[in-house]
Amino acid sequence: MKKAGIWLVFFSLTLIACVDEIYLEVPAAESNLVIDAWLGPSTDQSYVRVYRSAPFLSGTINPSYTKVPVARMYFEDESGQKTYLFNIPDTTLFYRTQHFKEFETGKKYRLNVLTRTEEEYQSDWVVMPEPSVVEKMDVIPREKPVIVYSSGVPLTVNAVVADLNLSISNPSGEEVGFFIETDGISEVFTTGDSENCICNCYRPVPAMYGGMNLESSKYEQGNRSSVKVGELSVTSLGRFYTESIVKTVSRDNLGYLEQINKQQRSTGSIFDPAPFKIKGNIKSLTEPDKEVMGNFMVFQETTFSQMLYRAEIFRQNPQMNFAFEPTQHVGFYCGTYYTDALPYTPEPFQP
Amino acid sequence: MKAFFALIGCFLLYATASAQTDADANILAQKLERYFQMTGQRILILDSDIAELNTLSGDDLQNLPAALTEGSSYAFYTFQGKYVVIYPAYLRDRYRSTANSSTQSAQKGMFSVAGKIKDNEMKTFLPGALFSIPQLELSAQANNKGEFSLQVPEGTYIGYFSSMGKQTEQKILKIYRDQELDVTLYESISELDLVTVTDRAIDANVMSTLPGATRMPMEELKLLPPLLGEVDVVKSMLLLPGVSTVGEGASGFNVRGGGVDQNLILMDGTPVFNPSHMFGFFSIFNQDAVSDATFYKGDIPAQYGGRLSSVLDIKTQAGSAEQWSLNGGVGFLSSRLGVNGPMGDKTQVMATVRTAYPTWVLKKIPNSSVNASSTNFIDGNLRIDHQLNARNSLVASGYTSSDYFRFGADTAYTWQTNLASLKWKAYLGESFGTEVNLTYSGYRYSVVGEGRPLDFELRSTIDNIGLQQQFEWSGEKFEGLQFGYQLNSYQMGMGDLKGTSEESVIDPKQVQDEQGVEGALFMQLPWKISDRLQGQLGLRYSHFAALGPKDVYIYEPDVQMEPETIIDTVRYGSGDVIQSYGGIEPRFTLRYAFTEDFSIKASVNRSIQYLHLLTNNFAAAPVDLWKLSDSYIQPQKAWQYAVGLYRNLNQNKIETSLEVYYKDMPSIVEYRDGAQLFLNPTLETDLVMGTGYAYGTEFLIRKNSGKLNGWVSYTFSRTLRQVVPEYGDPINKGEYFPANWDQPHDLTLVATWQPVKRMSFNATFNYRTGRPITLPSGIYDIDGEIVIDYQERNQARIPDYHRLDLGATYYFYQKKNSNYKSYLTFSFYNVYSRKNAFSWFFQPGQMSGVPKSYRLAVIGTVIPSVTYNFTFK
Repeated sequence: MKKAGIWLVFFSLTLIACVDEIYLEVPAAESNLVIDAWLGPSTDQSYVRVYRSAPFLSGTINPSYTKVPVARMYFEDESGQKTYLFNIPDTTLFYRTQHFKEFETGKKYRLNVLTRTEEEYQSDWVVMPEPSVVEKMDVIPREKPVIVYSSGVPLTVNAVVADLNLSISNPSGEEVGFFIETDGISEVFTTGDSENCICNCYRPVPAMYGGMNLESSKYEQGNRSSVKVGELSVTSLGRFYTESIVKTVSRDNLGYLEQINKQQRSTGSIFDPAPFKIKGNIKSLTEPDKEVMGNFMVFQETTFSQMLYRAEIFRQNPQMNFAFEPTQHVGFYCGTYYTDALPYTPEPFQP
Repeated sequence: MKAFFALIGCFLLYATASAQTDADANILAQKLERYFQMTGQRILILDSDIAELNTLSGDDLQNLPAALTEGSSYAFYTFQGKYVVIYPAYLRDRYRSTANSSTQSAQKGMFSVAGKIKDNEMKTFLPGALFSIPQLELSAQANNKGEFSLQVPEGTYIGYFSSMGKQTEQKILKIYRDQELDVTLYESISELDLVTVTDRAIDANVMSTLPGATRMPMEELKLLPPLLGEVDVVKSMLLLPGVSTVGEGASGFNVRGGGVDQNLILMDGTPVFNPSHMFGFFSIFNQDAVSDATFYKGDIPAQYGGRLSSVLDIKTQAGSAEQWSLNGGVGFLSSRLGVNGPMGDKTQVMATVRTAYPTWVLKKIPNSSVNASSTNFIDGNLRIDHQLNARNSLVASGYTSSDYFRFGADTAYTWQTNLASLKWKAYLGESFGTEVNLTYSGYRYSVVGEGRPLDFELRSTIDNIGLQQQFEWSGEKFEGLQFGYQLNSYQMGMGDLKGTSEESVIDPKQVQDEQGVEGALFMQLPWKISDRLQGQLGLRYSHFAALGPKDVYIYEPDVQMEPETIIDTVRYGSGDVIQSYGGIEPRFTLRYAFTEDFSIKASVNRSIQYLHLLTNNFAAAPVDLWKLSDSYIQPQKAWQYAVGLYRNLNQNKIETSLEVYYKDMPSIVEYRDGAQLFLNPTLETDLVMGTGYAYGTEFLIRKNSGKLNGWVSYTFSRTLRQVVPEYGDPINKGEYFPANWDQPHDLTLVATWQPVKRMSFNATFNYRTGRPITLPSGIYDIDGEIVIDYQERNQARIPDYHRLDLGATYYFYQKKNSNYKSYLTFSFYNVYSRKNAFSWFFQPGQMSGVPKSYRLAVIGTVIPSVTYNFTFK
């Protein structure tokens, strides 16, 4: 009886704090115009999307946006020079330039859009920043509890992971922002049944940094910012290839992206800021009070890639407690065991 | 003796407010009233004794006391031809046998007990007040100056001090020499039947000159259903009209449209910055340490200041002057222990300790996040009362607490409160007294991240030292005048971040501390035009200065303040005045009594607040930041206008009130969208001044006596804000928007039923409109990153909140001479397991796409609790 009483208390308390998914009946509202504009160092990296926002439906994978027909759209610099964008093909939301062109560092640009309904939109002036320099990637190993799979069973063990930090500097000396996207490819040693054994599989690791990776250059030390871009799990000795794309943006553009990041990281706890509307730098000239979503981003892009050798980390840190996953038998193809494995050997891993 | 003590503790209740049933009550009430009209004598009967009396007999009104007690085990005695006290006959027998004992009489000397009985509210003496020792069948009535005198034989007794409309005060009297006693009686606004004595059918609800004031003794609070086994002062205040919270798990409470920071919470005069343990599930006030709580939400007396909305003044209880006792309670999740008693003739000590330990339950829960979590708190009270001499006394009071909360494996939150006060009370003359209170309030919290190499500690502190002196004048002219001064110094640690290990990659960061001093002069004068028309005039002048050392940023003029628009920095040295503010805060109340049971009251008051709680969330949390006014953040200001109608029915058995208020807030602090408040060296760029107003109607109907009592309260209120900064984006396009705690409808039902003496049942039900929330209006993406397009601030609401709690208390059988008293409380919080939403939030799912919408219900089920409570003497 006493035991039953105690378990009654346990049972009750397991339910004390509960989080459950709900279907939210959001009052019908007119969708807002969204202008998602990116101006890179050249027209190849530049595009604009113009559409109407989709209704909020919890967990929808592909929200359906409504295209907004545009009569005229162009980037404009301070001297009045215009670069027009077109919607080719007409079925997508994207607008791009027809001819290649480069955009100069230090110049100010803005976006102008005129819809077919005669509504005119214009962004603030935004300075094209100087491109940043990625000098190196630091690999800093440490011990951490990680989950490894033994016979398909997940086990938590103390293992070694390595923080991957990029050293970035910007020659302008001005405060700029870094928006970094890092992907990787992990080499996995396996056994197989085929005659020519496919002993190495290659698994893509997209978006190594959970969420948006944003950093301001104002935190740099010695004119160099050290920005963590991901964490490498050293539970095998295969190689790992990383590629980081560093978009350098103005301070204001970084602020806009930080608002999105803040929204995406909200967990609803009492420590998170209350939800808020994200406002960009584009305004309606026709109706100044009208809300316009989106932003005009101006960026420089730097790419950095590096092959990382886990075996080297293992060799250089003998004092650490390494834990390795067992080698898996993949049958005839990597894909039979690792469903996400690439069907080919990626270029960086080719001899 | 113990049985007598227990019984006498419940003694003397005016019988018209205590009939057993409605029918009996009416019959008896009519008889008593006719008896009074015929003889001029009031009959005093204990509520629970009525059932034992011959209430149906006694048609001979001339001999009504004899008829009521005939054939029963009760007797009566008459005092000065004005009062007839009916009490158990065995007490009379005991008294007579003692009185007849010539040996004892010869040994016992007679001593004089004299003193004055004073009115706390009007600060005047109470002519006609009654001092009685029922044990000796002795009574004395105060003269025109409120003075009384009585010859009492040597011994220990319980003395009762009572007056119309006042709560009876009990005092242990150790008579071994002549004694002088000065007693202050408080309004019997909401006190427990068992200790209520009224000798006329006038109720403080109607006659008090303070609208919106509630005084709740701990004994009454103990009748309400406890949460997790604890009786809680703050939770009980939430049952009053006009007081609300945004949900379970939120620290503090909201009063009449005010923010959490707009409530001045005092423990023995010391300000409390966070009244909550475990995010509001417990308050810092231990039931064993609290004597009573007085809550002001309408007119706030001039002696209080620095907050806009309310004052919750908690008094701890003094140790017993008679004997040592041990008390406490043991529960599944928390336990407490207290001890109090005399140390010599002049000193009393009270000490309590309490701890909560729910971690052992969390560990059993098969959820990795939850079972890696832990939480606990410990707190303690100490109070020492010392009588220096007949005219001077000292009270030292201290409190300390420590909270620990860790959710998951990595991050822990801790916060500590330390309070101390030293109060000196002195009578400087026949009509002049003073009270000096030196206080210290310290609050510090830290957030500790333990995952290396990102281990860190984020800390913030508040240190407040205060000095208040108050004078009271009770001479014939300006009787009840009260005046004094207050000084407060603040030292605010605005946050520092550092790594906690050598390997930490966290960059240390510190935001400049803030300093300030606040001073105030105040006076309050009762204003009596006639018996029907009375009021109070109060005036307070406060002044605040923000002090150095501090570096103050100067921003580019005519543009929005942003870190990028800093053009200069001005360095202020230690003690330099950076900015100062001040203002007059008038307080005015008026009461007009149409009849003895019907009155109208009105109040106007202005308040200025120099200290602000910064939170950019919907609920206050213990790790929110307090900030002083400075060059950019002005004080918050409010005018409150209130009018109320008060009507008592059925000879004060039922109280009703209807209050209407309007609060104008010409200066409030709001945050900009997406504000970053922690470790922000340019905090002023994320804050913005605005305006607001609140209005509401509060209705209360309350039954104070009988086996079934309780109340129903309903509040309709709105609180709206407008932020249109001179530079930068307005909030909600410059239109008014609801504050986070705007909950228009609030209905509360509280009921206590005590069918038999040893068992009572209680229930509370609360319904209120869901709080405002900002919902998504659409979805879009920026370069593939999904973005929610939210509505403007607080344009939607979460579902309405409602909850039922049930409880029962069983008092164990006590032998007559037993030193041990115990009772068991059972309670069920949230009986029908309502998953009241604390928030709705939106998080990306495992697959990319539109974030999913979730409901967070902090308490999603029924919470049973059992606590064994005891007292040992």
